[in-house]
Amino acid sequence: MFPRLVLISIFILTISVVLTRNAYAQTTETCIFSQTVSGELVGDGGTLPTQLVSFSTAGGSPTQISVHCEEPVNLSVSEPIQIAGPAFQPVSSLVTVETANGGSTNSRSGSPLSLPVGTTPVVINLFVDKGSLLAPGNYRYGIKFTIVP
Amino acid sequence: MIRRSLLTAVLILVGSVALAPKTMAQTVDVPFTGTVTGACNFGQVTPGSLGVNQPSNPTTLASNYSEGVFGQVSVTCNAPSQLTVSQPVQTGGPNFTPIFSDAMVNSLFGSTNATDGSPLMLPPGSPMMLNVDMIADKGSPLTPGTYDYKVTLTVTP
Repeated sequence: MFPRLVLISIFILTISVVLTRNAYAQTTETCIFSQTVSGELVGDGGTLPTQLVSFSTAGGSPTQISVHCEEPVNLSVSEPIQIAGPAFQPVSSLVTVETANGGSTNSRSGSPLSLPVGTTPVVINLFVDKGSLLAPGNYRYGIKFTIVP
Repeated sequence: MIRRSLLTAVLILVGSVALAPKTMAQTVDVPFTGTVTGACNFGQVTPGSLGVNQPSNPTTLASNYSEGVFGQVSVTCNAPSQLTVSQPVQTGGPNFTPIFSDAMVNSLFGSTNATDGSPLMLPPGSPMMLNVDMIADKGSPLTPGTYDYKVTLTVTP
């Protein structure tokens, strides 16, 4: 009796592992991101900038991407990650993500952005404040999304 | 019987934990790029004033004579920069061609003048105060009047 129970249990466990693997395989395909407009940062603060911003009001341009999801997801976004340029530790930074219908999230708030099934265009803005003069150079930043189905 | 149920429960629990929905972090490279160029800003200029070399029949105007005051201006750069200064240019008063003239800029980081030509090297960062001095020697008595001069500072990041 006991060995049979163990056998059944092992079988259930094996099935579970297989199912879980399938689930993992699906989640990697949950959303597909495609960039439509690449963002441009500009120095803000006159001829001697202390901040880099993508806001169009300052002369920059936000990044626009399309997110295509196979199931409803919650999307959250990281703080800006410096990839290139003279390195510094910002005193303040922010990433905002907005949809056309008014949904939004940002790197500071705890509430993620709910995305429905299908394709949703989102606009991403980035702000980095050094708090002192930015050294001349070519700066590059990236951001990271976290998707929770 | 109790032990068998317990074992089943434990195994089902393990299976359920393994099946729990996974938080999937999808990393997407969403790049932003921007360029900051080297630049300097001059602050507000405090005009200087010129004194004369002697009370009677003066022949020379300079800001480091008594009654004279250095001109002042601050400069801020985001990159190491070079500062040069022009010869004084007369903008008012009885016109004359000096037999000697020069303009000097003094700061905590060094000095430069119009004659020598080797530039003042400025470090990046906080505003730096510059004292601007000048001299114009007529070589003969100056005509009474009010004299105006300017010197031009040029900074190159």
